[in-house]
Amino acid sequence: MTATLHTVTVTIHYFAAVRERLGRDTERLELPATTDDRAVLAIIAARHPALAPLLPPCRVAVDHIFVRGPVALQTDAEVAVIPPVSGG
Amino acid sequence: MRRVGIHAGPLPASFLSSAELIAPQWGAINSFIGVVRQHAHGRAVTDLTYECYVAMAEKILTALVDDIAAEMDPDLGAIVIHGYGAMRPGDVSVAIHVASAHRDAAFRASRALIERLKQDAPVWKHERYADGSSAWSPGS
Repeated sequence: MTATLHTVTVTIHYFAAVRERLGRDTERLELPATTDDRAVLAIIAARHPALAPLLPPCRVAVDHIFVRGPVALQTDAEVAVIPPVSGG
Repeated sequence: MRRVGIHAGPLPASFLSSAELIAPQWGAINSFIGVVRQHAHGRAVTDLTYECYVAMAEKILTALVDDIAAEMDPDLGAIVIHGYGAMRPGDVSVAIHVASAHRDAAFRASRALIERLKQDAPVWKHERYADGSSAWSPGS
């Protein structure tokens, strides 16, 4: 039996050291509609191997809210890779 | 009275004042002002840039204020402003003002706001040093 994976196209936003290494601040990417934060980072690492060492300490935000664990993505969701922050 | 904001550039002197929070229901006002330091990690800082995910930062700061008010004082007054962009040592980068009926909650809320802002605000500091090198700050 063939399993179908429901995917959605989202915009990934990159910041700080990750943005700098990648050389761009956004990209459109197809992600599974049902996923989790670690899986999103793994997909990005596979697509951009140069980013792989920088991603483990990163968090993921979807539509401006931190995600830890499972998340359901909508088409055109705003996904952000959040490296360790240093504000304040 | 609660207001949060993200400001392009160093905060001007007007942001240093908590005068807006002077009101008879609040017996105590407490402020935290963050200033760009001239040394970091043992090196002299010449200048820095704060990168900011502005849309998310506004939501995070709003949530921080709401959470801390719920924990410490539902009637808390608060102003939280974070600057972003290019700054130099001596520039003001953050202003936090809180007001509460009594001083205990005012002290605690002001402290909690800066501590949680440093954990969760989507802001990143890129420092440039006197020896020509530069680095993204690891945060605190």
